[in-house]
Amino acid sequence: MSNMERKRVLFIEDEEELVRDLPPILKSKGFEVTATTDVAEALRLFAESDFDVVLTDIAMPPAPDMDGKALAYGRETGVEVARRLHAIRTDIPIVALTVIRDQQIVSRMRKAGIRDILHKPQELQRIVETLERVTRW
Amino acid sequence: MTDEEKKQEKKAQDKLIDSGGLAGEVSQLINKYAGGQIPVLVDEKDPKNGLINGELLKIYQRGFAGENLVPLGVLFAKSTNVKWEEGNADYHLSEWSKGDWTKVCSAIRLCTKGNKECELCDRQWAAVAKGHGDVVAYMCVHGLVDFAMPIFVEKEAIAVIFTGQVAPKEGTFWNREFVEENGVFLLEGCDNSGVEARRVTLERFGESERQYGLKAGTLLRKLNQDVDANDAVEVTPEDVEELRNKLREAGRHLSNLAESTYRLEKSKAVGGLKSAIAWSAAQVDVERVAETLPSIVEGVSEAATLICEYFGIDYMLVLNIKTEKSSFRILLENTPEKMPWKRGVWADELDEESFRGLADVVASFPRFLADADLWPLRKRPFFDWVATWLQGKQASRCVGARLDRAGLLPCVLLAGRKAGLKLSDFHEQDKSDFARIIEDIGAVINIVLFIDELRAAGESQDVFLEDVAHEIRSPVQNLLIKIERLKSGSVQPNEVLDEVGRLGAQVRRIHQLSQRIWVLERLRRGYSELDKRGLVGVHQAIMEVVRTLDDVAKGKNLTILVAWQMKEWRAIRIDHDLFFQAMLNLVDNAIKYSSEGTEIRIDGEMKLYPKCRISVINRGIEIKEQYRDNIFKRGVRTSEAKMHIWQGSGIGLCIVKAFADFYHGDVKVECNPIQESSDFVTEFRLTFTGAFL
Repeated sequence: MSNMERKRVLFIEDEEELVRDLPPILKSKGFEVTATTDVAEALRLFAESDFDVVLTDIAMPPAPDMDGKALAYGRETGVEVARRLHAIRTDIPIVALTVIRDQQIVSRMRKAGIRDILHKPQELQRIVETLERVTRW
Repeated sequence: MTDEEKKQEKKAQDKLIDSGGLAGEVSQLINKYAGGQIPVLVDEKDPKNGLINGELLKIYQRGFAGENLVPLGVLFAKSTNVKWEEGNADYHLSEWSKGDWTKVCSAIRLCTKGNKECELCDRQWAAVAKGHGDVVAYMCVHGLVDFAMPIFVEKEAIAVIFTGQVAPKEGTFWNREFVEENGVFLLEGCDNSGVEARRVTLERFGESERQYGLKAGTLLRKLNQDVDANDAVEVTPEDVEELRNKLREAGRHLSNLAESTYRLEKSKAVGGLKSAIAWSAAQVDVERVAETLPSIVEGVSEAATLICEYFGIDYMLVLNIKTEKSSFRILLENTPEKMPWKRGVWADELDEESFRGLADVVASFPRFLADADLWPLRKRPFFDWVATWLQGKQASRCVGARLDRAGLLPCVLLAGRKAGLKLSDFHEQDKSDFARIIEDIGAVINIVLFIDELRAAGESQDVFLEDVAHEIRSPVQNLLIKIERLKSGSVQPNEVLDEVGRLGAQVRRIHQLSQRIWVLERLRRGYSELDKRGLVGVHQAIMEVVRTLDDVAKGKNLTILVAWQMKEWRAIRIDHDLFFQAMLNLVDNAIKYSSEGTEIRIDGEMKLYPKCRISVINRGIEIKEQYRDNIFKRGVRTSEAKMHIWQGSGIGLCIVKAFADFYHGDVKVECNPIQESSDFVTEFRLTFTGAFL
């Protein structure tokens, strides 16, 4: 993948180690990654910049303007993030990377516009393949 | 009422109204809406005949017809912030728009000191009153308020009737505040926004049926009947026959339940909670139980009705099987003399004098049925419930009985006999049916309680497992990616050592989790699993904890200080591993939430019993008061605390609590702001008892 073709990834994840380790690997795979542990910052970045895909965790501390209780005290923060991102642009694919298996939450994730769900722990190869697939068009 | 009396009453009204105070204004409003029937707002000489206990109830009944709610109190507010249109100054409640509601609710908020504290107690937002739609008003009336509905509005005056249940603030009987002489709360100068308010308590009628999921309308119907009807209800042979049929039906249901009960109890006894959950899930048709309960309740209720009617008992407290007689006695002993139900008695302990008193009851008071009052016991502590219930009923005398052992009916029969009442005309079979069904209700209550326990335990276990799974998956994901990064060759040689250290941290995270789960499992298994012989030097163990966490603390430039006095503590017999883990979790927790460069202090005292108190004090983020209890709970999915204390599964503090519980102690958390700083001082205070050598 040349620089011109690099797909821009917004990576939202509250695990600092993952935010530190995953972006350089994805970069070596041809992606350009902007990573943040802060949900509010992620929403701002999305509104201000162009991304080809969003890779987001689901269970994260909510942003100050989010109703924490409605989000099961953070368990479903990523759902609200996806909803807000989707409200801004519906054409940017959103991929979840999450430990959540609960079918009801998964259903809400889908309704919020999350296209693919990758369950942690996930092999790097699968993460890369998914990002490549959803950004193909 | 004679003409002279009416004149006097009018004069009293005028006096109030002329006073120009809010009481007069409101009194005028009430008179208007009550057709001039309300004598005075509050008649101090005869409070029972004033607004509080009489007329407002009728207003309530008129306004709330069809609503399955219980009146709780009324707030009258005069607010300059609420402006009503000219020519449309008074609204009937049905005409209120959402906008009106918003205004009223804003006024209520203003009456509660700027959204902070209740004027009547030290609680913050102890109650939430929900209006139509999204409108929510917050205020404290010492308990939960289900609903708020305005009954009067005129210009700047508002009256909102609150409905729901009243929960005593604390202690074993209701608050004196609630039962002041005239039942009026004067809220002077409750804020600085031009709002004056007076809150008037209304006679409370026990529990809201809705609150406890009982059949709709029963209590209200009963209230409606009893307001005007004091006549005894005649029990006809047809009534008895109908009752017997219901009892037979209930009996059939009960026999179906018996087998389940046996299995539940057996599994609970022999297998512990875990196997009980599995067993009951397989064996008990919970839905069937749920379907059965209403008919059983109905049958028992009617049985109780007839018993009450026959013996002329005002109130029959059908108490939970777990209720101790001593509790009932304490309740009575703690009842202020002025409370009319002071003379309540436990049925099988009545002395001759008391039984003569019981005979007075028969002659003096209208009959009431405790039909809907079985189920609230599931939800509320005994004292709270009985206190509220009796207060609502204005009970004068009551008979209490447990459902176990002799059962209710023998107690009542004994009471009746000693009181010199004539004995039942019922056939022996009828008595037997009553006795059986009333005793059986205890078994049903137990089933329901147990199913509740199982459900709660099951849910808690699910959430706990989910938390654990979450905690394992995250570090495993981190490990996978780290390994990929190392494999990719993108890590520089001089970074490898650091990366290996980070890998180790993730492994330690998993290891720590497994340790915590193991500790919890040991606690679950009980005393036999713990080391009962080992002596623990508390100071040594704490220093061991400090050494273990030294690197982590240094990473945040934190200093951990241990009080030197603790060196002098004698060694005590507690399980070393458990204590170590509890302390590790407390200090680890303090490190996580401390601001960088601050100090963590570990202090304490030991008394000779021996009882120990250890405090871990740090400076950092706030743990809000409403979350402080939750942080010790295991498997609480909706722990708001976890939003604020996000990292970790929360298992660590569960272990601290479990340790404290196991060693007859407690763990509390306090959090206070530091002046001129956004930081808070948090103190975790762990107490426990051990044994000396």
